[in-house]
Amino acid sequence: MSRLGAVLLAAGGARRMGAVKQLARVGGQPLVTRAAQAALAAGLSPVVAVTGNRAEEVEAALPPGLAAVRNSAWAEGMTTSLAAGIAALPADIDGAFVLLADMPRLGAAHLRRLAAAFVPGAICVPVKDGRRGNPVLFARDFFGEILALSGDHGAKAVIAAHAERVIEVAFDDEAIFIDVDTQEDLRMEDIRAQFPALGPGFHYLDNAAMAQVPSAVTVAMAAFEAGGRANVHRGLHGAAGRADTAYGDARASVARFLSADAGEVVFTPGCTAALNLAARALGAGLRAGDGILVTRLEHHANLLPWLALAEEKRLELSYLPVTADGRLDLGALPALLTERIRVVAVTMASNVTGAVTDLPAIAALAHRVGAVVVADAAQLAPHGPVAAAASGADLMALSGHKCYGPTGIGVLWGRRALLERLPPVIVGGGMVASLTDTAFTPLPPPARFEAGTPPVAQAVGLGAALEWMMGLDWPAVRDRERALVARLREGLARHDGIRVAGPADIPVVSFSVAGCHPHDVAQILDNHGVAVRAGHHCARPLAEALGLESGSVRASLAPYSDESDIDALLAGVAEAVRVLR
Amino acid sequence: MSETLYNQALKSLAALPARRLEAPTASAVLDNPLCGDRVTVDIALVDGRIATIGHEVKGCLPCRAAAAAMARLAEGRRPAEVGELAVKAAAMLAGAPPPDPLMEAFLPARPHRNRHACVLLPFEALTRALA
Repeated sequence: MSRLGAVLLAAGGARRMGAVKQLARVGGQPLVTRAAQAALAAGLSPVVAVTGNRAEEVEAALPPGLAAVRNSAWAEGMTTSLAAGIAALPADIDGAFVLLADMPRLGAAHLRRLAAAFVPGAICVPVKDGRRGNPVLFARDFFGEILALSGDHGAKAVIAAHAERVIEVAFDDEAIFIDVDTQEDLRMEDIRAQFPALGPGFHYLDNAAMAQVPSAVTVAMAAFEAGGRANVHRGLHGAAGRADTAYGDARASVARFLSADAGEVVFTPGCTAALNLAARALGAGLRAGDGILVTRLEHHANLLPWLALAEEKRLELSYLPVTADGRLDLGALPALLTERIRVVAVTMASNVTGAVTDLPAIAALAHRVGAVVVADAAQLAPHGPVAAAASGADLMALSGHKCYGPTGIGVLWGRRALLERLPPVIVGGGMVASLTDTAFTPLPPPARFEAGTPPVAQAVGLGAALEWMMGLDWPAVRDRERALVARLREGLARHDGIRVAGPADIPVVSFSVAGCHPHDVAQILDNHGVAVRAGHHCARPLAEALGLESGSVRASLAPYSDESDIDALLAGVAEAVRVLR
Repeated sequence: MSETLYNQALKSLAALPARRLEAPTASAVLDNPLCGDRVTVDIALVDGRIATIGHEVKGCLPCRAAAAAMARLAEGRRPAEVGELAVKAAAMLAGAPPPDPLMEAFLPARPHRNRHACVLLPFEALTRALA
């Protein structure tokens, strides 16, 4: 077995970054630390880090087990650092990786794969789709040539001079290409590094169904569950007090996310449960003949509760239509908003077309006839904090698992005066102020709507998720998402017969491929590591209104989505067209 | 891999012309609530045999191919002879040998458990129509 080491280049100035790149933090760690840990985890020995610019700080970021050599001539170019590192390697080593400190997606598995392909005298180069990347593993035969290099072009000349000795090692992910050159690169890589699920070759574009979870969420939930958990609102012991605090903090996080008061935030088992709670609580005050206005843009979660209520109480259900481009037809609204309409239930963003609703305009008209506006924020909330009261909504529901939080948790926000008028729907422990043999008085909101033991750990997780969201640079996230959606649209437009259904105001892009059933397209995309949703997306009235009888393929993005996700999807669509047509 | 699941035999079956019968002896409509596929099967019985099968599929390629295979396997046979086709098709997807060489086109669907229902829906519709 060959003895392989590594030279970790960490001396540079990173002029384009305007900072010392190797110390920039990704996923809570300096880039140089991540690179060094990957090398050590791959079993490379020795790993020689070459430092120069702000050497002491960089060396302080190195994990134990690394040797550091300082290159006082670092400013003269990368080859000086390369030479310093190679010179520091022991004489009996068979080969060494040249590692760059700014490739945050490279892990030990990549290095092991290259090492497994190594034979004495070889240069192992990672390659994907015919394109070469980094890091490169050089046999010791080439150390002399590397020591003789000059300038700032690394060891490319050595590889070019020995083409016959190059072993190309195939990879199927982009880690071998991706480096951090700009602040935007750094922002993106820092986001991705916080999502352990986003491994190589996993292109997750089903975020509108369920988003991935950042480490902060699982850490917070594990800390609650494993740190001496207790029930809330019941105990006098210390653990119960800590649980109350954690639960209250989570509610406060939701309130901040919604620019609301904590007393207006009701935890529910999910968004569907929140909308059902809204329907049942409002329904208690409705009489036969009252009207409910829903829209054809709704997810079933904001349709069926009203449909069921209408059937049960003989209410009149009417539908606001959609336009051909998948938006609400606001021109039809005034005629539908009669005095009999008591509730307007409307999505804030479509889970199919990505259209964002002009809720303030709808709410203004609805309030003129005295209707309560129930807004479904399930798809809008994952794309940034929502100002609940300013939106015009009276009640608003959101989902935890779409907002990078856990499953089993959702929120119903409501204006305090309205919540105080609404009756509880589920009754039991933890929600009564007084109780006799014949009657009870519920507590004020939100407790009156949270009977029984609430999903405490899930609430803690949701709080952590929303805190994570509130820490993001949303203008930058949205700029990137817009660029990715444009890249996706342009790629889809290269094929005949692909129709994108809707404006994709949020990065949710649904499309149909003529001659290809959506499920078959999704199946082939799965072969490319691309996860999408296919079908009717729990929005049958909308599918019919848009003429998408077989449904559509839906790609939905998140702040961690990148160009590689879009490109993998487009490659899969091209194959689907070739195979299925 | 895509070529394997969407193999030529499967695509050829799915491309066969399909139509409803104008005066069927029996019909059945079956939905897959998970994906929205809908299969309609019409049967014309003549002298105790399945003389003709009509079908219409609103669904994916494996489902359309399965409907075509179902029709080919059932036509000309007595209802009792095809009563267990759905069971045999399900068993094949679970690992049993194909009940007929025509069904070999569906063998690559075995590892794709979420597509089994697509393949089985036409056979289950046949069973329903015969009931």
